[in-house]
Amino acid sequence: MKKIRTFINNSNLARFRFYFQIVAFILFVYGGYLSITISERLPVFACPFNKVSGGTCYLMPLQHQLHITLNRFASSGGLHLLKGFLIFAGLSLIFSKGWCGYICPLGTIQDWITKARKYLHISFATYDKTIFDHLKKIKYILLFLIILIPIGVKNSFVGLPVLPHDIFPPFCKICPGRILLPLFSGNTSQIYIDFSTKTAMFMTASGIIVAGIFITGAFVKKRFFCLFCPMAVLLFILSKVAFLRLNKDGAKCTRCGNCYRVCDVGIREIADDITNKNIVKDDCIMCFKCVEACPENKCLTVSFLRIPLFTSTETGFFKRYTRKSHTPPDSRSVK
Amino acid sequence: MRSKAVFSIIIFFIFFLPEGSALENIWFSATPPDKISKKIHYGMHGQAYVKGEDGIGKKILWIRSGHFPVESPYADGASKKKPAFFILSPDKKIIKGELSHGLPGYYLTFEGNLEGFYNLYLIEKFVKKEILNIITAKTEVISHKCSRGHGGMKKKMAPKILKQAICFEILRKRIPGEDFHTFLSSGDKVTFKVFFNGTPLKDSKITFKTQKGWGKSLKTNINGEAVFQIIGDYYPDWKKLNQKKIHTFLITAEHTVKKTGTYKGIIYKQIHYTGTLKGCYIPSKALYSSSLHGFFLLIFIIITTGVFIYFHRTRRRKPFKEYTFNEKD
Repeated sequence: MKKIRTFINNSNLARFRFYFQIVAFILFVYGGYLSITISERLPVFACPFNKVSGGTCYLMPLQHQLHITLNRFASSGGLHLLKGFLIFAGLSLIFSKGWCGYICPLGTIQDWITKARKYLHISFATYDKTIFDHLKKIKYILLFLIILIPIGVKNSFVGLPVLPHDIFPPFCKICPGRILLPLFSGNTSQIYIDFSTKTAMFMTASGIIVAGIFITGAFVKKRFFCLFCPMAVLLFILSKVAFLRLNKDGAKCTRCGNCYRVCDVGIREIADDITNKNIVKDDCIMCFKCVEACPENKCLTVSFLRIPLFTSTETGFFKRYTRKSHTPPDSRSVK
Repeated sequence: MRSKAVFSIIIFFIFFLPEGSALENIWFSATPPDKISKKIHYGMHGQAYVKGEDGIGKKILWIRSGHFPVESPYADGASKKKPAFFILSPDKKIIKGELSHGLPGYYLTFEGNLEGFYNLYLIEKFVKKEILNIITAKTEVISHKCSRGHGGMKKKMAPKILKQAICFEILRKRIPGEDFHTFLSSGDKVTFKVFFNGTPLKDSKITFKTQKGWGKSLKTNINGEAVFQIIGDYYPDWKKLNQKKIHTFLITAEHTVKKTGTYKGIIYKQIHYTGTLKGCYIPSKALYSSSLHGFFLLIFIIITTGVFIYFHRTRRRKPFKEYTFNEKD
């Protein structure tokens, strides 16, 4: 048992993650070819606009289930909403934010774009703390709108007219997943601008613009879109009670800053916070690069149902970073 | 045993149909008459339904008679006996429904809560000019709620016929990739198959009519199939455009068999079968939408943001400067 644990702790998790992401991508983007439907309440961007998707992103049914009249919330509509959320919550509890780092097809695409940038020797961008703190609020605003707009399409508030139906489903209309994921199955039908109404034109054009920014953004900034992802908020809320956890022993932390340097999303607290045990933040994608990059024994630990799966060790750190093929942590100074 | 009993009842109805009101070329319509349209609710695919006193929604369809979807009057047979009807549920069972009469004609209501397509049939028989006319109106009514999930969709979507009871029937084959959320739209090529006594019928005349009355007639091929492309016939002003406007199409197939006999004491020398199938379609998804504009916008955004980032980085890059410190200072 001890040997297995040492083997895991010394292993190259980044490589495992790379292959795992490929398998997950095939499953979630092409699963439909094999008649696979994993779930319709998935905490990842498995886009239903991709006809051969192996499941459905939860944000789609969530918006549909909120697209009802207010009186229906107290009856069958409310029950369906609750049932849908419970399925989503059940799935989220298992892998927590690991869904983002290991499974989400949109995240995988961003990682592949990052690889392309590295190959071209173009440097990546970082946000300073003030901009980072401002930008991370966008995902909360998006989630608020995802909930509010579908209700507003069906219901009138304080005598105001209902929102135009062409705005619905609001997030799917602007989600880069709707544009990009069908392309992987040769489906270009989502790249269009609908001129039928002004609202439809605005929403479809916005979707294209967001997809364009997604591509350039992911090229210069690692996991660019994850900072704005409303799914990350839902997963973060549930991560407090999730089975998969990332814990930090602050007493063992020397604040070397390695963990922050390798963090794709740029979470500063991973290095600075030495008081909290649960170190998962709203932007964390649980890629566990921080655990790989930590040279302190048992400072950072990944656990599932409190059983340690992967722990930072000095030996593991040196083994990983002395491998010729492995790039050392990107040089980023802790400001 | 139970299925045999149901089958016997069906056969009884087929051969001892009550005297109808000689409704010619009848078909099902989901469009309510103007007088009562305010009482009607609309569900998936524009399916009309009414709410009973118990609050339970019942799907409702009206019977119309004629060859053109818009102009056909609501079939009125107030003084006559009701035509026979069947409702085939998605799990292939005959279920109950209610054929009522009210102003301005017959309407059929039923509870349909199973996932899939309900087949509705209405049969009219009468002898005219020594020809026994058997008219079978058919339509498919979808029942789906996303909250019930989408598992086994292919099976639930499969079209079906009621060969035990309906000798002449039209079937619409599903278009590739069709699911519960798919609307047929202008531009789609749709295949219809004609069955006679449960087997595909060759060389049957089949006619397709759009909402505005455009029509085309074909003969079915060796497999009993005919393919029609739904034409685009909706070009309103931009401001009046309703991309989700539901139009009706009507398929009529005919077949004649030389056979003598008597029906209700009246001699006939041949039997003329007419089958109708009502369907719906929406304007083309491509109407007023442009992939080219979308593609150019995508490329424009990628290039613009890329160039912006490049110049932003170039501007921030400070030229190399060598500073020399004189330690004596």
